[in-house]
Amino acid sequence: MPTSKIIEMDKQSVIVNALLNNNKKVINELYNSNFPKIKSMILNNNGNEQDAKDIYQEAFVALWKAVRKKSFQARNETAIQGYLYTIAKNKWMDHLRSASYKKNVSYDAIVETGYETAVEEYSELDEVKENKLTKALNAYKSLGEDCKNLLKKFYYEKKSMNEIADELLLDAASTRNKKYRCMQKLREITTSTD
Amino acid sequence: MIKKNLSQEEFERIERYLRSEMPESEHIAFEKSLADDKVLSDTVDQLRIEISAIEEVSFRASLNDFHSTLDEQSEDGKIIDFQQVQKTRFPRWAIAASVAFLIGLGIYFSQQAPKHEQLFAEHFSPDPGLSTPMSSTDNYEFYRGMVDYKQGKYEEALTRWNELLKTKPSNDSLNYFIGMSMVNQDRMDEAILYLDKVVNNPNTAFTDESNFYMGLFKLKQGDIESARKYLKNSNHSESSVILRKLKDL
Repeated sequence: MPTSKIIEMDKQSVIVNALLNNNKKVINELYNSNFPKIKSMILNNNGNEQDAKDIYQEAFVALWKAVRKKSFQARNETAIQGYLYTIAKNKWMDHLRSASYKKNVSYDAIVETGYETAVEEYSELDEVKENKLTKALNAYKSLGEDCKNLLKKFYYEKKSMNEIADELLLDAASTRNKKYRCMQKLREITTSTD
Repeated sequence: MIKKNLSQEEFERIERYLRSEMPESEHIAFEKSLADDKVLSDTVDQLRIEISAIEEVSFRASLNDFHSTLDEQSEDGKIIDFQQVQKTRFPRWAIAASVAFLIGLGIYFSQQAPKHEQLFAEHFSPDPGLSTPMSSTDNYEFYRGMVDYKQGKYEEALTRWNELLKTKPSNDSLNYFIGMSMVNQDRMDEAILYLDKVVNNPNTAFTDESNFYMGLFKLKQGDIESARKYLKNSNHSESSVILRKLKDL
């Protein structure tokens, strides 16, 4: 493999790993560098600043999820930028069309990454899962700040129990117990509407 | 059916499984008990969803933080990094459309083109195409053509769609997008013939689009009365804008 291709692949895997580990610095750079082009596309197609922000963030979350589901394969240097742009474009066009067609086409999308076509399909099983996820999202948002912060530090920022214990000025055992109780509370709320 | 009241030990065991922190033998044993115990397996799925939810809410919050620093940067007048923008390949139809548009604009302004042609140039951009669910087997050939269309391969799209048109000559989607492909190839006079079929079809889903484009093409040809007629029939967001500007002509 020529050296330039190896370097391109490395850069892509740096980004993919950053997305998997929620690396704030790398994701921030990725977010800032890709926004202008997508913002232009939306502003030039009957959208405003708020639309650009909303659609861009939806596309970004889609990328983040695809990397986790491993439904996205990074093949070359522009693959991630292309994926983001295409998702944003499809979501925006679907939005424009749903107003005039009154159809909901938001879940079907072909994403052309340059070398590979990934298809997002939506089945009934997915709908059950999506509903459960929505309940869990709302339940988490409704937790107290203490629980929200602790769970965020552990599951999102991927800090160790010891690090978190230091930050909270507690010992590790108490921190673990607190995390357990927060998760029990979360489950209680999530499943209370079942 | 899930187990709501887990002990801390049970909870941490499931958590270790989900985070791949179990030694191999424990992992294998746990997977076996998942296969045998539906309640356990449902509980593990539920916990997996809860952890995803925590991550997603936190991720979305961080995107909002990034966005607010973006706003700050542009307010400070700092140059946003466009390097990434340069490197990314634009889809071919966008390049074709923008080149055609720019050339058109250039010619129009240098020759001081009539106002109606300027209006056309200002408001025309080709239809970007439909999203293409490749899982649909019914209309495979149609959507396969749509993939060609969206990649700027208009000849290929036309070949597929013209073949379909033989058996479905009045199908509005086919006529509309055949017309659009021709527009992208600068064959406007031919495109009008296909769009005409769509515009006159009372059952079409493309009423707004086809009337909008017919209006634009009539505008380019200088037939202002017809342009007005078509644009009035369209709920396309730019129709009213153009109609207002036509009042001044």
